[in-house]
This record gives sequence, structure tokens and C-alpha cells, in this order.
Amino acid sequence: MSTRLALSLTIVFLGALGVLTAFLGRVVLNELDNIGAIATERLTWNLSQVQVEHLQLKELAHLAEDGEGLHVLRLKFNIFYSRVATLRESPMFAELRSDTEASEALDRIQARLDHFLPIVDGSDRGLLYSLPGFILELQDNGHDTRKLVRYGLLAEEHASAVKKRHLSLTLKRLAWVLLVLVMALGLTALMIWRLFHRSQMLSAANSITTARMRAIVTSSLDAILMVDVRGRIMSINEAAQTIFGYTGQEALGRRMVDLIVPDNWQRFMMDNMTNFITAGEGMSDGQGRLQMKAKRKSGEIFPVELSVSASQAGEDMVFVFFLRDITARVEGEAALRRARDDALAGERAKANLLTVLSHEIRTPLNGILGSIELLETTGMLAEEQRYLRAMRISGELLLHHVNEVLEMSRLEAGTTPEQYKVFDLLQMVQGLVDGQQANAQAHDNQLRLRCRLPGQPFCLGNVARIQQALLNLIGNALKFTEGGEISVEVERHSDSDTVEFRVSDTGPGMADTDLDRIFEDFVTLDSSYSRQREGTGLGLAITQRIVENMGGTISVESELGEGSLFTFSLSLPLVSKRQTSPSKKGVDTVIPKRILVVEDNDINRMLLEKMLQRQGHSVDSAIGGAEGVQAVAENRYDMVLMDISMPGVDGIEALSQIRSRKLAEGVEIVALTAHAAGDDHERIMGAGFTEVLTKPVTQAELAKVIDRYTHIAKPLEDVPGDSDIQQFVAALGEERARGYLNDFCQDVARLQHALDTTGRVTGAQQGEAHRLAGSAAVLGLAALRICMLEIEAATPDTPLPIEPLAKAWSEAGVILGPHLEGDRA
Amino acid sequence: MTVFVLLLRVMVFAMTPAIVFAGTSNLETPVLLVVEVPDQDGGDGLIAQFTMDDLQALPAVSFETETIWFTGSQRFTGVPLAAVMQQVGITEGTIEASGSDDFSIELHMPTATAAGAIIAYQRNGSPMSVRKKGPLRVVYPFDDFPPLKRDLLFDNTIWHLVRIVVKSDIK
Repeated sequence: MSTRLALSLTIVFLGALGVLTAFLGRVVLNELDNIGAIATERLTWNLSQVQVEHLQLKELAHLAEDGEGLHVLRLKFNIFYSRVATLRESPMFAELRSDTEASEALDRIQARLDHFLPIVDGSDRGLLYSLPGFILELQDNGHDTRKLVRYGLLAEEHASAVKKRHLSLTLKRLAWVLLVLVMALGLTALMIWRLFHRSQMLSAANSITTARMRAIVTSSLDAILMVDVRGRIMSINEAAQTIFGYTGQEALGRRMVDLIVPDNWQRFMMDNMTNFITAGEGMSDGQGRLQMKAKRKSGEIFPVELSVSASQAGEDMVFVFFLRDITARVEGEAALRRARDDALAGERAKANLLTVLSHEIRTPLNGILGSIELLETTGMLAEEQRYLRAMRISGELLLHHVNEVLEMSRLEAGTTPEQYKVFDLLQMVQGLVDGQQANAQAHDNQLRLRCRLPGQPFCLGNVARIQQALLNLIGNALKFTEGGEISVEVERHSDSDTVEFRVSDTGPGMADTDLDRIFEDFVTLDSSYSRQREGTGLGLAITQRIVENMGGTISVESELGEGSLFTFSLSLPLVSKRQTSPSKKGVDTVIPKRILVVEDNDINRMLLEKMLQRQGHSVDSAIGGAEGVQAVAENRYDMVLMDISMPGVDGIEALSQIRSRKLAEGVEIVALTAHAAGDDHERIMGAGFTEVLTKPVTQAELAKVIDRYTHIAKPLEDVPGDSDIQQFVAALGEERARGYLNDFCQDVARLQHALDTTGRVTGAQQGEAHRLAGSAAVLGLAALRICMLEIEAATPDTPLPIEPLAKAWSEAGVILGPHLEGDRA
Repeated sequence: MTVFVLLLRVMVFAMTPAIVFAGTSNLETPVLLVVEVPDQDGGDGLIAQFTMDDLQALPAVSFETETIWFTGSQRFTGVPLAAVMQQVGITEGTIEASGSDDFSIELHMPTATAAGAIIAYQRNGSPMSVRKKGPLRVVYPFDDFPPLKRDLLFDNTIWHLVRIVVKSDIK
């Protein structure tokens, strides 16, 4: 760049020098012209003329002495006079006149001429008479004219010297300019030489690059084809020849599309190339890669990866195609994908099997456990009692494991609705630890609690899950520690939402190598057959999932023989007890809502009605799906609570009717179900329900759901952790509750009696069993509910759960007893 | 005047060697200028003579100019050289002008005409004696020209003019 600038500057400079030289040359020429200066010539000529004319005059004067040619003498005199007058008058001779000697000579000549003037103008005789004197005077004139001539010669000499000096100066200047010009030419030549040198170097570098490029192209493992704008192959490297099976001779000049592109790709290829040429885009313009098919000489079609770049050299555009045979890669990828899909499918099948299996195990297990309990009350021998006890303990353990597996699958599915509420952290932890004291003493362990919870203890969180996680950790610690100490620490970091829970024990501890995997599924560190501790190996995996689902972290530290420390931290924001509403509107008054409860079970329905009324809402009820749809069609509700399993039109059917007939647009419909499994929730949510509430439903849950879906602030009372039956009584009032409970007991007793006597179940009785199962769920009688559900689902082939029912019923008696009036019939 | 021109033409046509008296003026008036036109075919040619009256009969031209011979501006009056030469039918070619002092110059007619050459007979309103470089002299309006051209014109002047000979190279 700078070279180009310098070059142009030099050229401009040279031009200027040229102009200067031309100018100076002209000046020199002028001066050379002037050397024979006209003025000087004229001066000298005139002076010499003076002398010539003087001599002519003198000669004529001598001739005239004979009296001849007097008029010629006169004419010559006048001419001489006129010449002298010129010397005296003309500005040309100003210099001469200023010279004293020359001026005096001129004056003398003029004086002599003037003296003779009257004589010349006079008569011939007078003139003849005066001639000798005239000739004498002329001799003096000759003397003076020589002086003038000599002066003229000197003047000329002087003038020419001046001119020469001037000329030499000008020539000197010209020489300087020429010197500079030559130097500038030299500089230009140097620059041109450097440019030439550089271009030679560039061309050398270029040829090296070309050679390297050729080497790269030749040795490339990818096929490289150069194609002109008409799609004809211009060159093809060795790899391309190997891959496609054509020799260079065969390929050159052929159309690339014909040669190596399969028929069904030809159109695509040509369109793209046209696009590329016209719009300069498309294909894989140097960046992207394109996967397509190519064709070998043998006709074999195989996958290739293609990238194209266009190279523009002047008018000529050349496409460079890089093609890579990716047959092996594509096959590998396909195999890998298949393997992965198979593995995933296997994994899913395994998980499903586990879940289904566990679910199915639970029912007969309940039967076994129930039977064992019944057997225990039949007055067995002491030895038999011992075996029975062993059986029961084993059964219970098995049930626990099955429940863990189900819990795990539910956590995996992630369908359990998160139930956040405000709770007293301190109180919760204390209750939990107190509950475990008996267990601790059984293993001769000391269980301690240390809490550091500055400020008031109320915070917002999923209390049930926290309890579960803590229980798992404490249970684990108790299980593995004998005669040691377990300490539970709960600490809130000052002014932050984070609460850290630590459970440490003085048990056997774990090796570092094991620490990484204890949170994995089904991990039990003691894998020998003589395992001392039972367990599915799911406890910690479940705990970790629970914590992580709540956005927390869990970690473990342990030393073999020293003990273990489990730590998890959660974000549990503090809330003031007054301001317990999550909606934070600060309004304690309830805006009454109109709510429809659709529920076939009397107890359930009444319970819900009472609960809602106590919260200040107005409640309508419908006994079954059909009535529910009717009610929605006739009235406008703010929310609908709908049971799922109802005889006739069930909840899902009712919902689809309501939605398809657009009876309650914008009204949220919440499902109620006794099914706790994640799959059921998914099915229900899939049907279009807004949310699923699992029975038994607490006051707080109801309030929260109503608040959430009718957008009204209401006080969220922290409902005390009463048992279900207590909540039921509290909701209905003692008297009514007692009435319902009496009815419920009678119904169950009647059914039990009927089944006992006939050993069969009728359709009506199955309907009754369904109703009673719902009531049992509300009252928290799980075993009884299971029995009822079994009766409901029983076929003529299956045995009726007579004994479990008896056991469940006797257990229920213990729970219901205090709330009943009089004996149960 | 027309008569004179006609006469002149007749004489030229007649190709007879003759001395032409360039006017009908008094014979006692001295002839100041002789113009000779040699015959192209080697004949005797034509000779025209002009007296002061003859010259003054032609339309006069007058201008003032600086010269190298006089200090200060001078007024010259005379007839254009071209007008005189036209009297003998010459507009082109070269002429030789001579003075009574035997000085002579050659003039290229078109150049001289273009430069406005005149045959002056008066300077500053007075006739010029021989002593004052008269009675006839060729001058130009020198002031009308740039210095270089002027210098050339200074060399193409002549005083004491008495004779013009048309050179034989005329067409």
C-alpha cells in the first residue's frame, strides 16, 4: 500500500521535474537567442556605420576637390549627419552618451558638422572653397569616430560577458534540476525494482502454497471435486477416485450430477447449485455440512457428508465439493441408537414391572397380615405365638419395602402435587423426635435434638415431605447404631431462608468409596447373604429425591467406625403467623363462594359440606355424576369439587359432559379421589381436571385449593394435625358426627354379617361396599377401606376377604369407639 | 486616380518597357521613390516613380509610437506600404527596399502589411529632411506589438528610402 503511494508520489514528482526542466530549457534557449543580442548588434552596427560613412564622406570630399560630385558629397554629409544624430538622440546610445570620453568625442564630431552645415547648404563655390578645411576637420572626425568604435567594441564585450555569466548561471540551474531528475528516476527505478522483487517473492510463495494445496488435496481422505458453473468436473482427487470408483480420466469433463449423485437427489443438487450461483446462498455455503446420498460407479448408494465452497477467480466461478463417506458412521449411529432405545425400553419395563408387582403384592400382604393378627387372638400356644409374631414382623417389613418402592415410583413420576403450607418448624421437629424416642431406646440409643432457629418459628414449606426426609434419616441412623448417640440438629442461617438439617450418629460409618453410591437406588452396603439389616436400599434414594424435589441439597460425611453425618438444607422462608395467607392480600375476611360438591358417599359429602360452610362458603351438593351435571347446568358455581369413582356417571364422564356442553366455562373443577397412586393422578389430570385432591382432604387443603382457583384471599389457618376422625367430628359437630358414625357402623356390620353368612357378594352389596370404602377413607380407616374395595372388585371366583374385614373392623372399633354413643350393634 | 490605375494596367498589359510617372503632377517636383517590377519572363519590366504629391494623394495613415531612435513618443504620418505596392499590382512576395545610404532590407509583403507598415513622410507633423532620416522611411506602429515582435520590426525598418525592387520570386 505504502509502495503504491510512494510510487504515485514519485511519478507526480517526476512530472513536476519534467515541467521544470522544460521551463529552464526554454529559458536557456531564450538566453542563447539573446546572446547575439539585437540591441548590442544594432549598437555595434550603427557605430561601424558611423566609421564607414565617415570614410565615404572623406573619400567623396577628396574627389570633390576637382569640382565633381558635389551633390553626392552633400547627400553623404546629410546621411552622416543623420547617423550622428541617431547616436545623440536614440535611447540605444544612452550608455554611450553617459561615457565621458565617448560623449566628448560625439560632441566634437557634432560641433564640426554644425560648423560645416551652412557651408554644405551654401553655394557650390563656397563649398569648393572650404573643402581643404573640411577635409582637415574630417581627419579629426576620423580620430573621434575610432574612439566611438572602440567604445562600442568594449561595450559589446562587456555585454556579452554579462550575458555569458547569466547563461552559465541558468545552465548551472538546469544542471541541478537534471541531477534531481536523474536521482528521482533512480529512485523510481529502485522502487520498481522492489515491486518487481516483491511480486516475485509473492509468486514464489504462491507457487509454494499451490504445491501445498495440491499435496493436501491429493492426500485428503475426503473426496474433493472441483466443478465449474455448468456442473462439469474439472478435477478430482485420489480419494474421490477410490471412493467413487472412477479414474480421473473417466470423471473429467463429465457432469458431476450424472456421475455421483443418485437419481432422486439430482434435482435437489441442481436446484441448489443454481441457487448458489444466482443468489450466492443455499447448499452448505462453507459453514454447514449437508448429509446426502452419493452413488459409486458400481451403482451402490451410500451416505456422504458434503460441504461446498465456491471460489471466484475473476469471471470464473468454481465449486469445490468435499465429500466424506460416512457409511460406517451412519451405521454406528444407528446401532447406538437402537441399543439406547432398547436399554431405555428395558429400563421402563423394569420400573413398570416393579411398580405393578409392588402394588399387587400389597393386597395379598394385607390379607396375610390381617390373618396373622386374627390368628394371634385365637389363643395359640406360646411357641405358635412366637412363630406368628415372626411372621407378622416379616410381613410388616415386606409391606414397608413395597410401600417404599411405590413411593419411589411416585417420586419418579413427579405427579404428587406439592403441598406447601405454613407450619411451626420447631414444633414439628420436636414432635418428630419425640415420636422416635421409643424406637431409639429399643436399640439402646440416645436421641437428641438441638435447634438453632432465631426469630419466630413459622415458615412456609412442604411439611409432610420434610418430615418424611427427616424420618428416613433418623430411622436409618437408629437402625445402624447400637448403644450410641444420634443427634438431630436444625439450624437456620441468620437472616436467610435456608435451613440446614443435620442427622449424625455414632454408628459403624461408611467407607469413602461407598459414600458416592449410597444415594443410588437399591443400594445396600452389606451385600452378603448374612445381611444384618433389612432394607430395600431405597430409603436414601427416596430422601434425596424428596430433598431435591423441594429444591434442596443433601450430602453425607462418614468415617468408618466413627459414625455418619447426613446434612440437607432447604429453603424455608419465614412467615409471620399473622400473615399466613400465601396470597398476601392481608384480607382476613372470606369472600363467600358458591361451591358444588359432587360425591356419592354420604359421609364424605357431608364432611365436605361442613368444612366448606365453616370456611364461609355456600355449598350445593349432588349425589352422583348425573345430578352434578344437572346442577352445573342450572346454577353458576365458582368451583366444583368432584369425586372420581361414583356408580353410574363417574367423575371423569361427568367432567367430559360438562366440558363438551360448555356448561361451566371458566369454572375450575377439582377432582377428589382415594387413589393415591401417581398413575391415577395422571389419568385424572389428563381427563381435564384442574387439580386432584387425595382423600381424606384437610381443611387447609380445601382452603388452599379454593383460594388458588377462585383467586380469593382467605386466612389459611394452620389446621392442627388432628387425626381424620377428629377432623370429621370437628367438621360436623359431635352430635351429627355421632349419628353418621352410628349409621356407618351399622352399615358395615350389616354387610359383614351378610358376607359371613352367605359367603357370596351381590351386586347391590358391591355398590354398598364402594360407598363404605369412600367413608372409610374419609375416616382414615385404611385397612377397612381396602377390604371394602376388595369386596367391590370381587368376582365369583375370588375369595371374599372375610378375615381381613373382621380384623380391620375390630381395629376400626378402637378408633371409632370414643366417638360413638353406646355400643356398636 | 482610376484613370491612373487603368493606365497602369494597360501598360503592364502592353509589356512594354517604360518609365511610369506615377501621376500627372508637376515634373519639377523631385521623384522621391522608385518602384521597380522586373518582368517575369526576362523582359524589361515596370518602373514606377512617386513624388511627394503622388504619395500624399494616397489615403494617409497616422499613428504615434515609441521607437529606439528617438527619445519619447513620435507621431508618424504616411501611406501604407501595401497601398503603394498596390499601385504596381503587388500584394504578395518579397520586396527589397533600399536607402540612399546604400542600406537595404528585404520585406515579406504579407508580413509587412499585417504589421501595418507605412511609408512615412512626416514626423510630428513636419516633413523629414535627409538629416532627419527622411524624406521617406518605413515604420510600423511598434507600440501595438509585444517586445519580441517589436524587436523584429525594428530590424525591418529603413530610412532614407528611395527605391523598392520587387523580387523575382513573385507569382
